[in-house]
Amino acid sequence: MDKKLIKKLQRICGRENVFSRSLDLLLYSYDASMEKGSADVVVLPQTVSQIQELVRLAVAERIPVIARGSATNLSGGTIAPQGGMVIACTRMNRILEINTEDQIALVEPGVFNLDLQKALAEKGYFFAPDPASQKVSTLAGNAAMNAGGPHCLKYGVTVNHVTGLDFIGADGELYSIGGRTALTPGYDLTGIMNGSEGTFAIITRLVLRIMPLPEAVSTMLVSFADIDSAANAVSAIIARGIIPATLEFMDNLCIRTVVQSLQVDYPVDAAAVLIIEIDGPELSLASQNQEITAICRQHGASDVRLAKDEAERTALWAGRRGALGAMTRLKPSLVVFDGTVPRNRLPEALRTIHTICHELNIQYGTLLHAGDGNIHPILVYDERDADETARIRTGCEQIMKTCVDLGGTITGEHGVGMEKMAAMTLLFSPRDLEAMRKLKHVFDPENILNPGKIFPQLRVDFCL
Amino acid sequence: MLDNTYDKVISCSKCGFCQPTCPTYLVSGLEHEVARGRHQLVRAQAEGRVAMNKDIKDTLFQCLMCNACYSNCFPRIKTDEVIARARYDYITRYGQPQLQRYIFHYLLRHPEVLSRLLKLAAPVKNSGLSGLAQALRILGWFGKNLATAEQLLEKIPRKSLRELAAMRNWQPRKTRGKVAYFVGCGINFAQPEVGLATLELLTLRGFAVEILPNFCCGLPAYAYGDLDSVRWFAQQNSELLLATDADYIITDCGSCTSFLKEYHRFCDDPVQSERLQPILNKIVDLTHWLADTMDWANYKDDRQPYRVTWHDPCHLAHHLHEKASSRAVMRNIPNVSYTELPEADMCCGGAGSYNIAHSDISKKILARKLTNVVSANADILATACPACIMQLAWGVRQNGMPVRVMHLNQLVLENTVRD
Repeated sequence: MDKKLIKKLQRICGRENVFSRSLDLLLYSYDASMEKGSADVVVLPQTVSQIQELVRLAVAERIPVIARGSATNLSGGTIAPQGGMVIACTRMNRILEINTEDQIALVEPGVFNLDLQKALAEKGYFFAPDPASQKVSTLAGNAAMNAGGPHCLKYGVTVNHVTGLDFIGADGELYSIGGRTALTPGYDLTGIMNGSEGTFAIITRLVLRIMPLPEAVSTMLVSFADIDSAANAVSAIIARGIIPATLEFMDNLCIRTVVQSLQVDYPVDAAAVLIIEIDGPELSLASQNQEITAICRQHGASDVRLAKDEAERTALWAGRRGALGAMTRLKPSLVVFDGTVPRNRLPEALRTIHTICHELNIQYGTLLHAGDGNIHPILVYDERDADETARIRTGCEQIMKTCVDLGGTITGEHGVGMEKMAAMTLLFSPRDLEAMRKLKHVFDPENILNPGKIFPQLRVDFCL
Repeated sequence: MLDNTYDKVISCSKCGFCQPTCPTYLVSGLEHEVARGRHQLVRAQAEGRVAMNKDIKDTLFQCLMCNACYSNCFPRIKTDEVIARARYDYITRYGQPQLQRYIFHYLLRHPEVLSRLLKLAAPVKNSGLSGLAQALRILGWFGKNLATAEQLLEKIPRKSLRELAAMRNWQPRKTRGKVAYFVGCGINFAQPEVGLATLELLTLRGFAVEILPNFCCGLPAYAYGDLDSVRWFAQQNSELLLATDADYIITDCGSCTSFLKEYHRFCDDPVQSERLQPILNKIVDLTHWLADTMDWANYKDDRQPYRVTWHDPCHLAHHLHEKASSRAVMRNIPNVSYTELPEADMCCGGAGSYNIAHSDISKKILARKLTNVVSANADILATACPACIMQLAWGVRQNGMPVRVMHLNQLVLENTVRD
């Protein structure tokens, strides 16, 4: 990168916060997805005004700007495919305010989700979005990707829990939208920022809606001897009018792998397990538990185990949250998809995925946020094996197509990023996409902010 | 790479879950300073995707090797093993700094010389270390780190633990068994009072003690990537471990304990490696032994309990996964009211001589630790590693905090009835 430009960046952020050696760029060329791409410079600002100056400079120089937090996203959202400047907000990680009267928390972009949860728990509150990466993913990242998580079945995804945002627009100006109340007049700009994947603006501060912790929580692990029964039980529970806080599914390979990795007490011979959590007033739980147990038994559950205490509950969740990472024990790389299908099509979706992976000789395990039909097939491979990698690409393409054919979508929560750009055409007509492009143009006419994401690019190969 | 380091780093899935556990990441926010980044660098290096030059030095050498990342690592990569190997490759390529070469290849292999030199330096300690360094004619090698080193070491004891221990006979009145005591360098040369407390406790609880004439455990050399020296130390000490007929081999330095237990990794001879296995299982950290023999303790119960908190040495918490024993021991002492330290198992920034080599980062990590110590509001901060004690005591001194930093065994001994 041009030395003069580096000098200017150093003047804004300080010498020690600007990185442009080849080593630096290598270390910022990946995230948790399959994608790779090297920026030209990485900067770590510490104040909002520094971000503002950085964006102004980028606009003047016409270089792409990619906002980045913990870079744990699974779709390539923080990769710099067209070079440019990565703005890493990892040093802006203060919780500025927790206000239980207004039920809001005010945070900087780089706060880990779990750090906020811990601070809130001390006051008897929680922030509902709880992606499996919550230990490490940042709140601005959660908002930018409109992250989900197990508890989103009952409480909704990130967009439902952000009431206000400060951001630096592509014109280099600071905007403050939404606020401390849930209802604001006019267009819902806060809403539209969620899930915009850094293509509209750089988020610099978030106002988050927090909620009182439920009075009681009860978690159970239900084992099934076959996958269809487990999937049917899911539909039956929801059809009965019960909305659990979470309704998670793990298949046998995931169970066995996580047991090896974490020494959790899961039934290794079950074809699938459901992790069902309900919360609410203490008195309501017992009858709901009975009802859920009965439904599961009717659908052939072989074992229903209720966590006796907080320790057992934590252990159950450790297995679920660790499942994705544990799969890397099988092969060095993995890709996880997050297509969504209508709940009653789950058995069909799972069968088709099985056929696809079987035919392509791909090893895979399946996790589901089953309650909202969000499927997470985890495909493991070795990226040094070109043939296997190509089969993985094909498999992903076919899985996404399956989801769309069954009336679902290509992504439930991980975002489009680079990974699913091409697949957008499966879901949206050229006219739909044009409407989105127009919106992008309003916020970022020069296409400076996170270019090369979301929209299908002119690429010969498929999305991966 | 000759060993399986490459297989380890390719299994990093780049999930990034190491970030909230990594002390150097938490103070820097940099991908360079977290296990994921380090693994990717080592991998890229092996695959020839990154230029071989000295740019990689900071990323490799600023890792604390605390292994806190391991607790969050699904593929279970031991980052310290990756880093030690990468540092070995680095010093093989770019040369080992003179001071390290002198320490690992000469001084620590001739502890009698080190002992003599420290004796020369001790009387001059107001300015102890510069006196020592002058005596060793290595002042120039220390460079700007000398001032830091000097602050950390409050005093140089006039007599080493070995000399002090030789003045007494460590025989219990009634013998329950025999232990061999492995003398760590930090205890021997800097904190002999800790070693004496260990010896007293072992005797009080009925064990005859054999003090092993051991060399350094080799961990300092490992930390600087001098794997050839590690082999030498491991070989020498393994002979001693194989020779002893003691029921247990005990150390009061968590770092020594965990490293001794890894000796099989540095043994090239498969026959000896096999002979070593059962012996390595006999190595027990004092903390663990104190918990095991708790029933034989006779504790005082004679005062308003002091508030005690605990800092987990990384080698106990993240290498040996031993966190329960110390807490059990403290909760069992009537004069102790135990409070859990927030982030108790996060590195203090001491990490052997990391605090000298990378004092800027080390101080930031220490500041976080001290903030937590303040919030725990304790009278005593106990731990079980001489390097942690040195680092924490320095931090406490610098900030005028009303906290006593001590080894767990000193706390135990202070509260034991001696008949």
